[in-house]
Amino acid sequence: MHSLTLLLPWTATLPAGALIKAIGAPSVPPGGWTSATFAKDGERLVKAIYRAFKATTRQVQPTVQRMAQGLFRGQMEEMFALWAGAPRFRAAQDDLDATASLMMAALEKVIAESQDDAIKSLIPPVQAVVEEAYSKVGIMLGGHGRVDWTHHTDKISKDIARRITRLDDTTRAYVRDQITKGIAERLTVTELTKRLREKMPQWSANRAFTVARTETTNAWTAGSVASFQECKTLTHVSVIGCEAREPRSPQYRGESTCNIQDVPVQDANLLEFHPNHTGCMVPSQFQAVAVTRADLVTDPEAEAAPNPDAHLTDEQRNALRKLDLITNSRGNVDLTANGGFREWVMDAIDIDAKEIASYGYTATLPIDRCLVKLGNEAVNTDTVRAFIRDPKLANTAAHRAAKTHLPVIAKDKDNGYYIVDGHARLLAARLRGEKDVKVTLVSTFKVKGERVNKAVLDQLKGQPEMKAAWNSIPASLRYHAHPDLKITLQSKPGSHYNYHNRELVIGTDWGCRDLMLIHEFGHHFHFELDLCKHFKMANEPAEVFKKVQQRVKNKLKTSTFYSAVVNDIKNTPGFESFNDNNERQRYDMTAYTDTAAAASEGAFGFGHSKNYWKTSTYAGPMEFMAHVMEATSGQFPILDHFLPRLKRYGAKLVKRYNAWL
Amino acid sequence: MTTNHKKRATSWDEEEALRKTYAERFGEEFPFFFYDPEGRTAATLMRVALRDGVPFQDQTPPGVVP
Repeated sequence: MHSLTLLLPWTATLPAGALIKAIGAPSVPPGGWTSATFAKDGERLVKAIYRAFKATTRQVQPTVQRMAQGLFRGQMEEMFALWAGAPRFRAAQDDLDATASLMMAALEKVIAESQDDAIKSLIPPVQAVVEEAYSKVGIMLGGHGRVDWTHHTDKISKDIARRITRLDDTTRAYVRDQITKGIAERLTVTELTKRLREKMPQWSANRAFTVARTETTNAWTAGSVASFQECKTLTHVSVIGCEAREPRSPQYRGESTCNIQDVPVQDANLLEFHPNHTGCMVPSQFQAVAVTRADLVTDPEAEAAPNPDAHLTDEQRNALRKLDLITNSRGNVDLTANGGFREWVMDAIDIDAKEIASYGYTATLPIDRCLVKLGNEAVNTDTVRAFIRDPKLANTAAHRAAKTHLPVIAKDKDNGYYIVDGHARLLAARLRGEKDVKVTLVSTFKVKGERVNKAVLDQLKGQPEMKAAWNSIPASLRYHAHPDLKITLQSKPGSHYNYHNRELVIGTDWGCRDLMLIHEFGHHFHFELDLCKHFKMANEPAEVFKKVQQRVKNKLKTSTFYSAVVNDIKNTPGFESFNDNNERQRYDMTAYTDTAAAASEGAFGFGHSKNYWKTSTYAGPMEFMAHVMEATSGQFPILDHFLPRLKRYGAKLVKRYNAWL
Repeated sequence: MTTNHKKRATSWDEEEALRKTYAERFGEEFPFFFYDPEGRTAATLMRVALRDGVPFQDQTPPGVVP
């Protein structure tokens, strides 16, 4: 054993159980971790995971560092040999760029050729960290901690080993810089080699240290994420231990991933970290409902029985999991205790009853078991489950809606109801620090949604077209209005329309006042949900932006943009009668072109003034969101036609915002 | 259609001509969405800009979104 330890130093670790005991990890609560047990013992759990992370990575890091340093030196020496045997470097010395490129090509060649062997030698220590992380974190969360081939640790380790061996941009820039300087000073190849060789020991040691620390940390993260995602009660993870929040590091929901808080566990494997990452991922939120210990453990042997849901996508599984939590099957939630909430849920679920009926899924069942109301029909959760499971229905609008709007609620026997829904998450975000928000069923959504809806309609008295516009916004978005939302109608001929501090100001003399109401409510919506802070990073808007930009890319000249767009619209089937002297049609067109302006923050398109885009960091995202709201209302045919994804994006907003917060 | 043409001091054709002149004079379109503390119309603001030779400067206060 001793000699083996010398040969393979990363094996010299305590058995997982002994180490977990030594670092003071709390025992797994009976029934597994929940929000209540996490509130009590979470600090110890987090500290224990962090200690295990430090203990494991520190043990393996020196080995990886030594191997990496040896590898880098070998690669550089091979590069020098190639330089020495290539007289064309000297011949090309008058062309500085060409010579530098040839020399760099030699380095790339060396690295490409040496990579396979280097990767093979680095896999064992890296894999040891991945498996240790999986095992230790898994045991601390209540799993069995056994690693088998299904966990793909070899693949994960290979990817990480490949990152260690590859030439990163910083190194590439460093070597190129040295070469360029050397050539500019008219050094010969021998002199340049000598200079680099002198600088190499310190440089390769620094690089090896950084790479080893980063990649052993990444190896631990990959292993622990596998365990986090197997823990059925864990909902969110956070990153701790980063020394600072690097602004230029990889982003998630528009913020740096350093020390990021409360990322949904299903997204944990999507987080990327900057090259000097030192943080550790830890659990930060659990569900309120306790599940049985058997549920917590994903035992490959126990799962030998055929799984009826094996063919389902992750999205479908998540939807079913959410549904489980609002039924009596696990959490024993009594939804009949307050009909208000149930009704709100029903109202909020925008499922087209006819569409579902056409698939034969509607049925009338006792109301006390009903969660979803479809028009005048009622179905129970089993029906919804069957609906979600049906692969034939995947990607139909109703199917997406069913998955999007299912709320998660749970009852804690000591503390009352926890509603783990978008609204509660919003409150949690506002309260900062509260991981679960306790809300009573009476004082939340039913009251909020309906009262605000009525209050808004009251303020729109005498404005039937504005009332219709308000009602055209999907209820699930409209109900996010703040109870203090005020609508000020002004009778002035000028351009009176804006949103400020929960007040919509609309000029009643303008022919497009109803359309403007939708736009300004869009501003209220994104301010209330704090959407724009997360906006720039989110993939979906980025893709929409790209589409917008592609569509108008060829019409960038300001002087011709307007007429180009008008001609484009007139030449599009269905819009031949477009007339830009028609106020409403022009407004619709401007919503389209202003979306382009928002996407490019004023670089092209038209709508708002050029300097408006400079008034706020979020001016572009804010206007984009307001146009998304217009698209969801169905009142903007031109906008819908030319940017169809906006509407779909709007429909996903609530779901996305649930995931963000 | 809810357009209230009676209250429009400037017809669409006139406004369009003003927009064209404005764009030629200042090299950029007059904005469609803007904030003016006095609540003036686009046509009025364009006339003022053309008279004074100074392009319109949108001075939207922080927190206000037109």
